[in-house]
Amino acid sequence: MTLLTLQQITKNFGGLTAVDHIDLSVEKGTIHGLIGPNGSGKTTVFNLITGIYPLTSGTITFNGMDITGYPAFKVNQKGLARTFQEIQLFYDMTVLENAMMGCQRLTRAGAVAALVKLPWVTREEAFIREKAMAALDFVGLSGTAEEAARKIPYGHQRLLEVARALAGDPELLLLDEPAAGMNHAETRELMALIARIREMGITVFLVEHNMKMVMEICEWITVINYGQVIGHGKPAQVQADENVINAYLSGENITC
Amino acid sequence: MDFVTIPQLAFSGLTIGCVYSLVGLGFALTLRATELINFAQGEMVMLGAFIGLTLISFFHLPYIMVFILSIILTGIFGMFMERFILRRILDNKSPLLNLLIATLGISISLQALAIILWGREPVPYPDIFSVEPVMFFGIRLQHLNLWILCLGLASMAALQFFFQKTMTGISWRAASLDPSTAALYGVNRQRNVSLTFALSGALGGGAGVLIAPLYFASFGMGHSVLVKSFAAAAMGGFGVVGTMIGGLALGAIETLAAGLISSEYKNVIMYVILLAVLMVFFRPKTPTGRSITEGSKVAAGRAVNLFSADMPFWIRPSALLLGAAVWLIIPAVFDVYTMRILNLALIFAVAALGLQLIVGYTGQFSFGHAAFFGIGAYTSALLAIQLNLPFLLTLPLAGAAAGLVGWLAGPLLRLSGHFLAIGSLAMGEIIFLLMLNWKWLTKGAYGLYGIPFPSIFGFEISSDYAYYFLVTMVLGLICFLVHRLTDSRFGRGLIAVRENELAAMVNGINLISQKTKAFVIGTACAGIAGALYAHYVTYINPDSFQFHVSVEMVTMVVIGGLGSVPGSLIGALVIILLPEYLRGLADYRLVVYGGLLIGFMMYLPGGLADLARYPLRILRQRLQKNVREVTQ
Amino acid sequence: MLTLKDLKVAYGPIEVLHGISLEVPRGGIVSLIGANGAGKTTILNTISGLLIPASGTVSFEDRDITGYKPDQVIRMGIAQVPEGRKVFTNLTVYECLLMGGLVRRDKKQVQKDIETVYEMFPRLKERRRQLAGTLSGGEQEMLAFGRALVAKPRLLLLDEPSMGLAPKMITEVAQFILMVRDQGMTVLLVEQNSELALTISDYGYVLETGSIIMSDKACNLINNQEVRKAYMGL
Repeated sequence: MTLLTLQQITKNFGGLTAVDHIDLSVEKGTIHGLIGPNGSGKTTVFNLITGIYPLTSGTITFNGMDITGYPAFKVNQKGLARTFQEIQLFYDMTVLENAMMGCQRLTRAGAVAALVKLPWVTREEAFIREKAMAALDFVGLSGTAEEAARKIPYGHQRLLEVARALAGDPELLLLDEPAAGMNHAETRELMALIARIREMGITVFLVEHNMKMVMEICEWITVINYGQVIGHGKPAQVQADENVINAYLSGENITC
Repeated sequence: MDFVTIPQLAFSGLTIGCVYSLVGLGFALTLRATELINFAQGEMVMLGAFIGLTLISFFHLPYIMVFILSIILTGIFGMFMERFILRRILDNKSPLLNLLIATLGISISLQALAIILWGREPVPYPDIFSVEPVMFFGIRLQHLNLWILCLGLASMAALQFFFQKTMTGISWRAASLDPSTAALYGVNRQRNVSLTFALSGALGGGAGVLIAPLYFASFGMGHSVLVKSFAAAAMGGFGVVGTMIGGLALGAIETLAAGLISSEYKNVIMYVILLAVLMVFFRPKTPTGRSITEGSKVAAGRAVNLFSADMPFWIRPSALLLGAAVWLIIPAVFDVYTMRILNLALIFAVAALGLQLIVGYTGQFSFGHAAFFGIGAYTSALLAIQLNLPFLLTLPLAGAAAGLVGWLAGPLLRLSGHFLAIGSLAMGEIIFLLMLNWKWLTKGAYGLYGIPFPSIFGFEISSDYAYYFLVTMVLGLICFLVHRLTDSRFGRGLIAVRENELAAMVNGINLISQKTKAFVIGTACAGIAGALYAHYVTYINPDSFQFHVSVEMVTMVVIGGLGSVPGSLIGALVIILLPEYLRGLADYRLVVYGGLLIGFMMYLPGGLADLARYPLRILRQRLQKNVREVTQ
Repeated sequence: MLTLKDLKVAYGPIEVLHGISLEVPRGGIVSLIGANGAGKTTILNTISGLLIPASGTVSFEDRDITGYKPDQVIRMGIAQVPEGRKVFTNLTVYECLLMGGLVRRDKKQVQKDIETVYEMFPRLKERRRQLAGTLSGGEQEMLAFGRALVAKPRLLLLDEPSMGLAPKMITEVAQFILMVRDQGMTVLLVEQNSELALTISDYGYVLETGSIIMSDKACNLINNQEVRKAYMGL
């Protein structure tokens, strides 16, 4: 079953077409990779899916629902969570509070509820705490729950972003270069973590530069360049694709 | 009206517009080079005017010489200001708000110094120009206006030449577009910033010499030019040519509006134009805006929790007991005068708490808080005077009225960073001007007399001691509610918006709605504080709700510590009590006060709450240790 | 000519370069290849003085220039064409080229050098009064090169010159780099497009997550299976 479908999505920034009529679909329960050379438009695709930028044209369907034009907060409420290439945490909040922010879509207490503080509000607060702790536990950060987010190491900050995204029980998790800046050991752990996330039944769609990692864990790979899809398929198919090899390894042949 | 009226008005409009252009250029330059809105720019105008006056009166120099010398002197002053005050704060990576407060501190100190040196009364320039106008197709062109126009346009031409034709000018433009690439090609950033402040100081000073013969030199003259010049710069998109045109256009519009529509509403019209320009052209183009703490390395406050489960059981009751004791002892030991000041401080603390929610928790600028304080005061006073409603009804209605206007102003929160600062300032000024001009309702500058003391269940609260209990109870209730708000899912959402708008939105936070809610609650607090104020002082007029009061409230929040409830109380106490204790310094009071603000921003960017946190943390650790030993 | 010794650079608490040592001999083209986030740009920015290393040294023509400010570095004769070209969008083409000569004292010679750049790229001459931001990607690339040339550097640092360019333009860029080398300039080239980089350079360094994992003559690296693997995960 298809969870996410992009149909002919296009984005112009001024005169520049960053994303040019991309068609793509992510199957439920898979790990799907989006790769391409630097500046090919991968992150823009993520920003369009999550509603950070409005589309110029095209449609996005998620779980059978047309979410084209939804603002970012509404996309999240529908069950789509993401992380960023450049880590985006609430730095002055604790690790636990960061994770608690991920439960927004499962809960509803607002300003009035906070003032009146009926029993259900207290129960909901406990529920948020529980979900957040579980997510932290899952990525292995429950030991630092009370630390300020800005004080934990870089690798942990990346994991915290994942935990925050997981705390809201998303159906689709978008990871934007989760391994950037990680060493080999950390990358291996991350790969194991992504596999465990899939086992929980969460579909993973990721942008990554670390080819080894992409080829190893993704079932499907889409390759884009200059904002257009230039290849799609299983890892082995993509690796054998002439277009893809050209995009990665050379411009045109120049003699030595 | 005859057919020369319009060109006549346009002529004087362009004259004043020239001044707006020059001052606006100063804003545009500093904003583009350092992303800072320099609130002290208005004082450069004042400084230029007084330096010019001194040069004319004592040295009898010709006007053109005076103009050039003033430009040089204020330019040097601008450079010093950057070098010795602002650079340190810029380098500290303090929150944006701290920089604004520092420039406000400079502005307060300079105004106070001007009072000491040149007195409070506006001083006219000597008659150096012939009063016989030049006639031009029936339009009377005054010599003075012609001078202003010529010198103003000449300065702008010189500036344009500098930016287009000299290597330094070109490299300045390159650096303002892309500082790091410009650095790669040899632009020294530090020198460039110094140059910028020198130029903007010079532009302000020049404008001062031009405008002073028209409107006299006075210590407060900077303020009236400040906002309009900023509007000119904003209308021109903060470009050099754009600002020049923006200023001239604004001057013409203002004078024509005053002449043809109404002089009372000319400023309202100006501010509405400014708001419209901001809303149409300066909404952030990126999906997220700037919070006051963006890019800052100074952490906003985190409360030290002394009541958590791992603390000894006796700590909560003893804290309550101690609090109650202090609460009851205060009125027993202080005299009437002290109680009066204290009550005022506590009333302001209520408003500051509301502002804390907007600024400290949600990270949004608000420089119009005093206007909401005013709305509360007028609402409660009018309801009590006209309809004889009891205080227990007018108090919440005052909060509701302020909150309602806050909700109506909600769309402003689509602006961000400096533009929100200026937008909220303009909105505050519009409300202030309406209070002044809706005479049928507010009696204008004459004010409302005879506001009744609150009467609760038949008891009239008229003594300062009784009022102390009323105010502290309201304050306690608001503190409790604000604490509940911030310590909840909703409160985390507020802090998330302050910390990282991008992360907040992808985690399901509706930014606009969250900011608007904080703004409505915050302004409602200001309204309640306003009602407490009106029934305490029993006489109100619009002066109590001006821009500088808004600034004082922001200062309370920043000095107390962003994101700290007790911080806003301490801040309010310090800001209201400090000037009282500085009274012995007489005229130097405000100089010292401004200096203290600057000092705070330079050396204690986290506010007073930061100072208190350290001992509290030690106390907490000590107590925790004891508990652990006992359980073992 | 340029020597980096055990260079370590950190952004806040995070170390991104873990001890880089490399050498660029006079008159050659040396390329630095590696995936995104490997630290290539960080190396260039450290040489240029935009970043200050935590430890290690940068020396140029036997002089220790570690910790020099950017304006001192360009005065030493090192110019960088930054990633994404970074032309000054609101300046005219002519003004952008003038910026290249900002630190030079011989202003007359600067004018002559600008003329030389115009001869090299006639398109820039046609558009000299146009704003740089209105140029196409390829023209901006020429302008960025031209700006660096007006600085008359002895060492040219190029950061991803092929990024976002059409294949035809990439060939032109390669030819241009060779031409600059022939005029006697030394080039340190950072590229993700490793085949382009290695075919024109003499020597190459392969960077992975902040460390150099391989270095060899370019002709050897180009056929090295390890390099292909690092890029394609083959």
